[in-house]
Amino acid sequence: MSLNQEMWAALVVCFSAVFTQNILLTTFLGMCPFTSVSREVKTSMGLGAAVVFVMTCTTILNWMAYHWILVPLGLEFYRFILFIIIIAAFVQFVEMLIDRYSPKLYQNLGIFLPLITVNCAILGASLFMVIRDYTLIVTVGWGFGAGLGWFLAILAMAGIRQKLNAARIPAGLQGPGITLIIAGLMALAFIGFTGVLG
Amino acid sequence: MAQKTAKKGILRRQKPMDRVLVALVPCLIGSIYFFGWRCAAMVLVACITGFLTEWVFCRKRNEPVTEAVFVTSVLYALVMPPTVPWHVLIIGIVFAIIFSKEVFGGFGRNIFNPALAGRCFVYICFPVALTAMWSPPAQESTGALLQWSTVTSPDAITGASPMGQMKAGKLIPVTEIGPDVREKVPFKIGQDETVKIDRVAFLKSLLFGRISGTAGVTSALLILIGGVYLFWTKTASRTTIITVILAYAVFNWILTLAGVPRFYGVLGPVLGGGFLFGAFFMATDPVSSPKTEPGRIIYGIIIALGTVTIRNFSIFNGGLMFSILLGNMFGPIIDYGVNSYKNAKKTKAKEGDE
Repeated sequence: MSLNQEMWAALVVCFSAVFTQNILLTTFLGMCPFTSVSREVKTSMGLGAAVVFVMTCTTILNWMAYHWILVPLGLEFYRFILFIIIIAAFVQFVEMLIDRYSPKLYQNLGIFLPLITVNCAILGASLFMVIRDYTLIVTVGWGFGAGLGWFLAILAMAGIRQKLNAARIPAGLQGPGITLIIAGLMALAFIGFTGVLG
Repeated sequence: MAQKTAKKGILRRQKPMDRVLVALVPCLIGSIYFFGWRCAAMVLVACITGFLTEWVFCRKRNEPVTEAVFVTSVLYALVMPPTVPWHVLIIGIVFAIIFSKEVFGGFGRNIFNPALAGRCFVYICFPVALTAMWSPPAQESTGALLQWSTVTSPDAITGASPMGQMKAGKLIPVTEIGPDVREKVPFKIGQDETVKIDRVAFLKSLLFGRISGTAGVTSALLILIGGVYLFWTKTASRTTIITVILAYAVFNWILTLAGVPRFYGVLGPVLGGGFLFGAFFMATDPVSSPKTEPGRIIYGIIIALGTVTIRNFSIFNGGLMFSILLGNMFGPIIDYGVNSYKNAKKTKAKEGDE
């Protein structure tokens, strides 16, 4: 593939990661922060932005580690451990950097950054990248698109939950229960994109 | 149903809902005329099931059932294929009432349009019943008024709707006249066959509705009669209706000009596949659509964009249904954004004054 073709492929993968293969609404990864941090729009925006950033960077780093270290050594089966270590280390590193250079952003994001380490969507994105044999440039598109898809989904959910303050939800369904029902209905709408862009 | 509505304390009448029901009458009559009395029975079954489902919940809350449940049920029944099996019809409306309305606390609190959520659910669960079983429209001048259903034999129900055939590239509207150009939309097209059809005749049949499709929405003219009534009386949001239709037309126009295959101008997609029905009756649901005017414009554009994408590029045909649900999904956050933008502007203006 030439560079131009790869850029195009990256764009297509990015778009399909947002809509057709939305990591949250079609593969249901990253559900725990999705249900617990979507109560307010502001905080979910912070978390979403952090996820976009971390996901883009860690998929790239993991791609490098996988293709430049694990594959030459024939140690592909170690990828789960290595990916998790890289993600955790990267999140720590980013936390320190932000704390040092932009305390204000750190205050807004700070709480969510450590949380992201255990967000399964981040690890999932890296694993999908391996399974689907993406090249480095396509991986950039994939990581960014998957993060953006997650961001959009949690943003929509936060908006809905803000509106839900006026609703009378049965006692047994309050909190996570109704959130999962809404997520199900959202996923129902997202099924419509099946088949767009292959 | 008449006795039930007469009882006091069980049903709450709502003026705007009355108007929507009146606006739906032409479509209902059309469905009976084209596909037989089974359509009327479908509407009735949906209404009874919907009413009972809601009543179970409302009784617990000691509230009367609202009239909106009939609007939901009628809308839902009219976008079902005329051959839909009874159990599919009932499952859909029960799902719609329980999971998109009652779990949120009943009327006025739902996030998604109940009729569409129900249809979407059965669309995914019973894809064959909803996408591959159509009945041919009655061809006589008396229509199907003397028939229960237009399906005469089991093999008569495996056609495809004209929009589906157009998407598959089997039905091609053309402007030139030739020996192979047909005047009528064929009900069935063979496996490897492509049929050319006169563009004007095609648009005419979309307008008058003698084509296969979902029960109540084959005729653009009948939808427009009811729709204009809603538009005129301001029952439905004018902003939403205008934005959805206009944006959809513009997107189709751009893609036609760009020469994308299987795009044949603006009028076909706008008139066909119940697009107008969705724009007038579904997208305008006052509960599930955004409350602010700028929000409604963004909402309309999202719906139009989603419809163009899903109708033409995904494996499903029900583009408008999915995109209205998508619009509902992003509606609250759009409202939130618009409101916070307005507030920010206000505080800024205040600061400027001081």
